[in-house]
Amino acid sequence: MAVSARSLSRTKSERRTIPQLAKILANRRWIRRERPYPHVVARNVFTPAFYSALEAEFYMLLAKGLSECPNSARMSRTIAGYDAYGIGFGQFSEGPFALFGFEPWHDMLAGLFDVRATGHVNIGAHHHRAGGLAGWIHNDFNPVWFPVIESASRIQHPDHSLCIYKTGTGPLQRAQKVEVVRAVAMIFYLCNPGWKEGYGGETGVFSSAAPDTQPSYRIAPENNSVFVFECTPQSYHSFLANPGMARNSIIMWIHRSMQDATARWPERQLERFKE
Amino acid sequence: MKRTCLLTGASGALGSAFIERYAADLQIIAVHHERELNCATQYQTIIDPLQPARVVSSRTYAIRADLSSEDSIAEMCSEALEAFGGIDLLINAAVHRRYAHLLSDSALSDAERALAVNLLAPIRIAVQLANEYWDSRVDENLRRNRNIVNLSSTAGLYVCADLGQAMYGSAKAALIHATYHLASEFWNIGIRVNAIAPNTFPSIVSTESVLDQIMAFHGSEETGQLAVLDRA
Repeated sequence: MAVSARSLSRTKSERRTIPQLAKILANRRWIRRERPYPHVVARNVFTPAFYSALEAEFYMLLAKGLSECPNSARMSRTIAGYDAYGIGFGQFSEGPFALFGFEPWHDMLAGLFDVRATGHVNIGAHHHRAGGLAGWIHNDFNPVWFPVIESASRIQHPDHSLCIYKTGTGPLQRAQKVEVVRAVAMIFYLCNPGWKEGYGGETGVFSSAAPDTQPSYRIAPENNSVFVFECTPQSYHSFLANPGMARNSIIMWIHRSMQDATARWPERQLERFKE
Repeated sequence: MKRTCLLTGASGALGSAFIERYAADLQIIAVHHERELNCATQYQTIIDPLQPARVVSSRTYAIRADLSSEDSIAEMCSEALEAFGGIDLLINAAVHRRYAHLLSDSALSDAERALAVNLLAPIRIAVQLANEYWDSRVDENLRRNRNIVNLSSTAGLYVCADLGQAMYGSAKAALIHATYHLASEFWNIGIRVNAIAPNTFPSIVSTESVLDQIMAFHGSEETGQLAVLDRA
């Protein structure tokens, strides 16, 4: 049994608020590397006008303040042991952030790695205060949960009131929710004006999760740049400490079916979130 | 056959612009250190995100090297020569740009690195290539019009007060003088050596004008010349 539709106007809304990708992408020369695992980086991603709109919206979010305990309206400490403030965006009706929940954006990310994506997306933002601690090396190869929703849009967002994204817990029956696997992760860096080497806050790309591994690449959090990677058992990455200045980003995952994931990798390699 | 260009500072603004403009015409060996290259190499491709199956742009050959290290320079030169069998154009564009007032606490904290990257590295690379390759090929050097272009700066010509450019400017001034010496001594082996001293690009002079001057020197018969690119 499916949960009733909540936003049948989403597709119309997307058409109204999001310009065509080709018109807002300032740079279509993105860099793809295969090692240590498939990933793509690009600078100067959006046109100045669209980037400014994203930045303005992010600063409005920051202006609401930070919360030391979970808070759905403000960026808050939501991940135990991770020195960052985060917020999940859920569903947008309009505004520049709606781009990331826009079907062509989802399909573009999937196309970068030739992934058969399901349309499930999870979008949010991270803020690391200056002096933040490094994160841990992980791979984002995680199974996660979405409610099964009848909707005019192929794009589906998490709804924690129905089932918790990371664990699937909630009021829904098994048939009312679907377990999928993170397929592609995106980090878009913004509101980091004047970032320089030495300030930290890069995303480290690692060939191994072993302690003391040095990053193969340090992805600079320069404004209007993006880091995208396919989530695999080897897609090791980590936030690097940021002594010099705060670090801000929009984060996003698109997903593949469990069948697709386990056809390619052994199920035992899935990194399940703990309850 | 494409001419081979060894380009240091390949991940910087000038290096990136040079590669974007000339990657199809030259076989570029792109030397970089901490910052990643913004071009196709043996390690990465350029894709259009809206048509990811279509790979765009010509490929450069990347070498990561710390130009403050003599050993690293020697290894880089050997790898470049081994990979392509020769160098026709050397562009010394790598820069260590950290400004500090001489009376500040950290003024001289990286003075050695500033001199090593901005002054010694261009000389060391030129001498290494000469010893390892050019010295025994005078006729070929002349026939292929082989040459070196050193990127200095107007900071090496005059003092911009209160910008903290003492180490940077001194190194760039010395690089101009070193260019004259290199031109004099490399004349005997058929290698031309010139320098460019641009003001800040792209804010005061255009990056394109610097690229144009590099290729003007490359295509000329001049040696021991300095081209100053400053505000009109």
